[in-house]
Amino acid sequence: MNKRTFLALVPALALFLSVPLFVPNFARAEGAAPAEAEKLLLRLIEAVKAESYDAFLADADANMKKQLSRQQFEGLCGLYTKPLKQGYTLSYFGQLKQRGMAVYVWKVAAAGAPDEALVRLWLKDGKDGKVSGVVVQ
Amino acid sequence: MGMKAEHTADIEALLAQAGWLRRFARALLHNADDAEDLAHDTLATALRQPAAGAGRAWLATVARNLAVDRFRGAVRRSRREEAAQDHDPGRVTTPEELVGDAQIHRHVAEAVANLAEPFRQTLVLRFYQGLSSVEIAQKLREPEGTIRWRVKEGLGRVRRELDRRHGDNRAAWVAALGPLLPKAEAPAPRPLRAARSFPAPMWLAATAMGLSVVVTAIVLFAPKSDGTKDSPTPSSGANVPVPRNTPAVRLNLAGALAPQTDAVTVLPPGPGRIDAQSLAEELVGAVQGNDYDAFVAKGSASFRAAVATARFEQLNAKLGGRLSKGYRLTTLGSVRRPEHIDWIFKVEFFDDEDDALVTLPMDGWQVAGFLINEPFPMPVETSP
Repeated sequence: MNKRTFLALVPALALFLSVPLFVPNFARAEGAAPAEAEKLLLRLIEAVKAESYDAFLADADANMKKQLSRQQFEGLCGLYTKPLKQGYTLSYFGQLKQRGMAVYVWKVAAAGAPDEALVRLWLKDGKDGKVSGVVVQ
Repeated sequence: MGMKAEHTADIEALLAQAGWLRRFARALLHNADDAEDLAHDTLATALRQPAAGAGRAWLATVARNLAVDRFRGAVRRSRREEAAQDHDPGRVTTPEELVGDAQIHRHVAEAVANLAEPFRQTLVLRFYQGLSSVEIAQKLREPEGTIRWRVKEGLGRVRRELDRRHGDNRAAWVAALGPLLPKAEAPAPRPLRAARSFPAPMWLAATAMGLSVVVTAIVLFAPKSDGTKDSPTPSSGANVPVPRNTPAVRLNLAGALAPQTDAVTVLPPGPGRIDAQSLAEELVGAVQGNDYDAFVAKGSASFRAAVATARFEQLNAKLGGRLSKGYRLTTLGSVRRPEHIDWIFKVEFFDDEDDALVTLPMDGWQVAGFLINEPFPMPVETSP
């Protein structure tokens, strides 16, 4: 292989080597929760386990802070704090698009709960790190 | 071995005291089906008279009236039963019946002893030690609501276990426990309902009544629309045929192809394989085609009873147009509930508007509900 041929192959080689760098991101988008969304969900779960209203709203946007009362949060803790403390598993279900926001859906199976819960997490713009809504069904 | 001996001792201790069993039987039998029937009847009435169903107050009035009717009926039934007993004074309990009753009492004790914590502890404190929910809450330093929920759920679990042990013949164990109750409280044995305690009709009716909160959903908070929603993109997919999609995760109720096999623990192998995705496609296709018969074809009796034609047509009017432009249905997974499974689907519309989340509760092998979650401002669950 002469020098000219080698130089001609460099861009192709660089492209080939770079492909694996993108593959994990592609795979994540298909089958796993986006890291940021999952991190937020885990923080919310920890807040419920700790029964900390302030921690629960730490990542919330202004609207959610205004809407979620302490009483509502305590109601949630009454149902889920104890079961979650016994351990839980998360199964990421997928993502929806609703009114310009990304809605991430998980199944939460708490060890101490008789049934599983479906959790929907609204993130405004999907990546600004602020939770716009949570629904537990 | 040690654990087994301790467990046996638990059961023997439970059996040794008749008092707790009487209290427990009362809780177990009392209104086991009546509350569910009442809710069903109330909502069925609501569906029959949709114009009158303006809100909760009206619904509460219906429930009260039905409860009064039931009470009067129960009194009449009790008098008839007493009269019947008076006409059969020579009736004695046979040895076989006595043995059978004792066996069922043991089943109750075993069901309680086998309960997972914290339900076992809560029921023992409540019925064996006779503490009130308030006292248990203080003792365990738990909210009262949590204790009441545990009692309710624990009783439900025991009922289900007794159903399972008696081949889903609730009449058998109800009849055996009945004599433990004061005469006026003894329930008349009756067969297990085909769709026992499945809440789908309640969902359907509640949403039909315009109630904003679904029975099983706890809506913590949902962001309000700030009016910044993008204008919908003009649809370029008009008359696009419905794609036969390949879902990211294709699940099967029989579990043979299911990566998430939790359903297998709840559903026994059924008559052939039923594919949740296919069922959902059939239902959504029926909505699109305004085909009521197809929509209810695979539904349980309660589902068929709850879905009125008019409500179905409203659903079609709301979604049929969007669905006709094309959509993609994807199975997201299943969620285990105490007595059924919810299958969760995503519907992406080709009109580029909001996606929808569809919940398909399965009562055994039958469709028992169809729930569409709509987006903002509140995630109101709607269904026909």
